[in-house]
Amino acid sequence: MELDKQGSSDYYAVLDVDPKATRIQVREAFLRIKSAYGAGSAALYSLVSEDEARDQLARAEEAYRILNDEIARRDYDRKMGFSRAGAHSVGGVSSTDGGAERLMYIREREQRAGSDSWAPSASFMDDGQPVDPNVVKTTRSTLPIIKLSGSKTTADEVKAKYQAVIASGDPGDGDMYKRLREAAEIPEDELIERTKLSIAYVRAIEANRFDRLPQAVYVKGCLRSYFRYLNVPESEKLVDAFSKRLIDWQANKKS
Amino acid sequence: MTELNPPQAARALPQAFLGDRTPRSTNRLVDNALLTRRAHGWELGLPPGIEPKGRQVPVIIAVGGGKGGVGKSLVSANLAIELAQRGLKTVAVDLDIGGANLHTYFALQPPQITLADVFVLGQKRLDEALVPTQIAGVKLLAGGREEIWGGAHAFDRSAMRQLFDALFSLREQGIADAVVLDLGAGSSRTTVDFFSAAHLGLVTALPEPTSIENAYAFLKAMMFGVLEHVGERTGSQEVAAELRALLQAPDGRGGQGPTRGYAERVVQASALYPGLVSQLTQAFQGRVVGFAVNQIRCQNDIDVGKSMELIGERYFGLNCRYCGYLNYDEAAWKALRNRRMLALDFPHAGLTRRLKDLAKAVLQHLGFA
Repeated sequence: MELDKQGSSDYYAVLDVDPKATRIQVREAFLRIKSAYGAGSAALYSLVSEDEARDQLARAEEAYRILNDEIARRDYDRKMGFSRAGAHSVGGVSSTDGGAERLMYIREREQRAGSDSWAPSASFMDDGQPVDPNVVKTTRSTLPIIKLSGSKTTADEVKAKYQAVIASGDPGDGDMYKRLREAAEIPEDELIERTKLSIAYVRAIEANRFDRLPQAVYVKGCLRSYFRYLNVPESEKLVDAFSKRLIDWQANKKS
Repeated sequence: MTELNPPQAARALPQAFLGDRTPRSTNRLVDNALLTRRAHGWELGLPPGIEPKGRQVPVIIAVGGGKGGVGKSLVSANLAIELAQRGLKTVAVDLDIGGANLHTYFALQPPQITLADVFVLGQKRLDEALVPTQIAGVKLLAGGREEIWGGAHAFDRSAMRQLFDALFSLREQGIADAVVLDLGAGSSRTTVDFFSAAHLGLVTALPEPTSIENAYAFLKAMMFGVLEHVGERTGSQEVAAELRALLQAPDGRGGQGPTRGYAERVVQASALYPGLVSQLTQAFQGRVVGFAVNQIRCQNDIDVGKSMELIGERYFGLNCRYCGYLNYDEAAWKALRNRRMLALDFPHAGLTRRLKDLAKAVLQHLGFA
């Protein structure tokens, strides 16, 4: 392996943050790298090649996608053996006097990775191909995205429960969607965290509160993410039924 | 021009420069925990010949950064003024050998006795060469005319030793708490050695490719300078030379040196040379590399400093800090043409305020509350 492929083999190192960093600190670190290595950054001139900058940026974005997602980050921490015990739960501003600690941190990690740091390490991102099952590469973008479906949704018993719930309810009923979600044992906060949907809209949908919902076109998008995460079969029927009810309700309100 | 006596001063100086802000003798240097904690690392990276062991040392701030015309002298002069306003007796030293003009930023005529008389001709003592300025607590050590120096290489190791000996004794005599070194353009050996001798080296750059390129070349020279100094101080010159070759080795991806930076190479090299790398890291952490971006015209220009800090830290592994930015302001050249000091001629200009902020940040990064 080439010398330069080493050193920044985990997401925390890529973003230069401590494994105990809060989400705000992770975000700050990412934005800092993004502005430094982003297109048109004057500070790169003569020192960092364009390819290298693009590479750094892609790595930072990949790391940010995982570390900014509470659940993906927890899985990642578990796999890599990082612990966030003693981390501050409230986001703070990152310490600026981190130079020494940072180098020490890199060195400690090197030691943890193996005694001989010249040898190829068991890098998480060998050849740039992520191994994480939660991350998929799309054809459109070179960047990985997080697979948006709950962990148990492919199990047969959950599928059977889905069938039962859908058969028993009205396809345009928000309360039925809630029962689907409960059948898959996906708590509300997990759904919000992974899909980045608005919690207010999810609650409004599940409670059939049309007065709290935006135009149907937005709600359709919301519902698609919702059902994609739940892995509900033939969800487009449900989406259409709900949006039809919503459109009717909104038309009535106007007249 | 001599130091103004109080009645004249009251007329000449705006209110901000009076009151109880005149320099007083302080023990702030002794109390500075950060400088004490970093002293070992700082000493490790000093050019050979400078021996601060067992001596009282003033705070040393060097202003450099490669390219000419980026505002090094402007920053040096005003930094010295601000340090004095904040209670540190300061000596501004013009080390722009061959192009000395720091006196102009203090609105002074070229002084009669200069550094060259003291260290090249050896005819004068250092205290005779200290010129008072209009600001109480700031003294100037002028650079001297070019012909006396005899080229940029005149400042050899022994002259450097004498200079720093003299600067340390200024502190011991209570004449100076802080020293601001105004360096010349370019990345010559002497300039880089002065820069690495400072507690805080301030890289002044413009948000332009030419200036940024020179600033990085300067940092690279400084990094290898410190490596060499550490090698000499720990008696491991050969190991230092090997490490240098290792750091510079091309990585086969085009271009010279490492694509991803020296910092990563240093960390990797710790397996081969654990002792030297640990000392080198201490030397890097014992000195601060500050960044100041001059002549900014928009928000993007301000962000260039932040990005340079990050890239400097990741690429070189140096202890980088963004200290502040200076607006593009006509006050700078107007004051020079008026033959008055910027801080007195345009005390309320945006540039003057930014210079104050810059000095404040510099002091914070040096551990002064």
